[in-house]
Amino acid sequence: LLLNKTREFPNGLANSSGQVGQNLTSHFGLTVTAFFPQLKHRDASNDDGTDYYHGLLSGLYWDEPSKNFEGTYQVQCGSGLHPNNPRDLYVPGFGSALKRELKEKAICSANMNMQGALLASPKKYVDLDPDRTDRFGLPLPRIHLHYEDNDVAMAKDMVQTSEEIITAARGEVIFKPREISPETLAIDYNHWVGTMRMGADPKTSVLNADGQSHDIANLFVGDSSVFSFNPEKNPTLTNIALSWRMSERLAAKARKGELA
Amino acid sequence: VSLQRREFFAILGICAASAETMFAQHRHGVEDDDSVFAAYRPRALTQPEYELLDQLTETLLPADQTGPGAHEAHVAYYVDVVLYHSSATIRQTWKTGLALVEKLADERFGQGFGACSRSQRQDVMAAFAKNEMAPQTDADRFFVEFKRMAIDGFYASQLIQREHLGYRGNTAIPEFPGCTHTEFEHLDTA
Repeated sequence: LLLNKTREFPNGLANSSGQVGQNLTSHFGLTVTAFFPQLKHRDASNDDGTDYYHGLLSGLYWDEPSKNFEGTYQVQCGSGLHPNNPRDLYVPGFGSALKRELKEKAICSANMNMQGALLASPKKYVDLDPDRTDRFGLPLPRIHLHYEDNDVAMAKDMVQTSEEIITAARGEVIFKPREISPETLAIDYNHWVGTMRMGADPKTSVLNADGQSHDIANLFVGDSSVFSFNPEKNPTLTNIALSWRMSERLAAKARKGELA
Repeated sequence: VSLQRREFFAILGICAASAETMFAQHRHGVEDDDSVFAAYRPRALTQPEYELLDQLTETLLPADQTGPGAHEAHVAYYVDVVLYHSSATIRQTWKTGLALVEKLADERFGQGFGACSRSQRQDVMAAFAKNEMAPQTDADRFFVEFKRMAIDGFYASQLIQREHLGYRGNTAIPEFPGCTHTEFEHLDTA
């Protein structure tokens, strides 16, 4: 849409609001790994089903927002004996001692992985590169994504909360980031949302609640770019629901001849 | 990038996530086909580098009373296949790193790593590993990379998963017996 600039749409197609490309966000996070010595000798003969998502710490700060940051996060807890566990146990050394410790900790370790939503802000957006072009001579997109104080504060809270839970459960933290900074946070490359947000006001949003452009009656969008906000939850089901509704409304409007 | 069929099945054999997902009657014995490994000639590394890698991984993760070691788990094969399908830069990093280990052995004992005794190899490995938690030099950084991939290859082996780690998952079962853990007998789950 940004590539298609016309006399009627000098800032790009369907972009009278200036919001096309804005409000880009995704999930981000980090991981804290713990060891629970009291589980050393447990039966780990079949731990399938205990990897990430079997334990989900959710609902944090829903009732009482944090004083340190806006928004919330969920913690995805994975535990149990899995063949890929040992690579993340950070056991130093080599030889039989290494083998013994890897085996021991693989049976009684757990990971707490944060999934938080990057706060949408004017600093996070997509635009066109004024200098660089692709092989067809068209401007390349530029992704402006910066962790901000709110994001770092949320990550610090997650590590602190995880450590409190691990300590209360008589565990020992094996791994956590040495420092929590934009460099130690990991972006989720599968959960991009935003850039075409829906809303009631054509001045501040690109699409209406049907996924239809405020500017162009026969332009509809059906993907996660329509999100106006990114919760801590995975976006797929909301994406499907919104796209499904968009398709039904599109068909209804077409039948009525409203898209000509 | 193309994998030969036999190589593909050999990797499947190393990875327990393969035949174990099938019902028992549909399993094939590819994971036990040692002829694949015996006939294998390294493609990312030279033969001397490959043999050095095999000795290094066995020193890192040796056969002992807890089970087989890296040699029996074909970790060198795993690494060579991964490197073969990696970038030239990564392959060169490994070649340079292996040469650094040979140099280290020569400086300490006047001979290559392969000619060293078991205790001498452990001595070289200790020097190689000494800064792994805060790597400073190229050799330190290579040790971290070497150890990570060796651990990946070791635990990707079905032999290691079953015989050393005791992993029994990823298996199709004809009936579900419920939770059989004695720790939870006191809970009323009815």
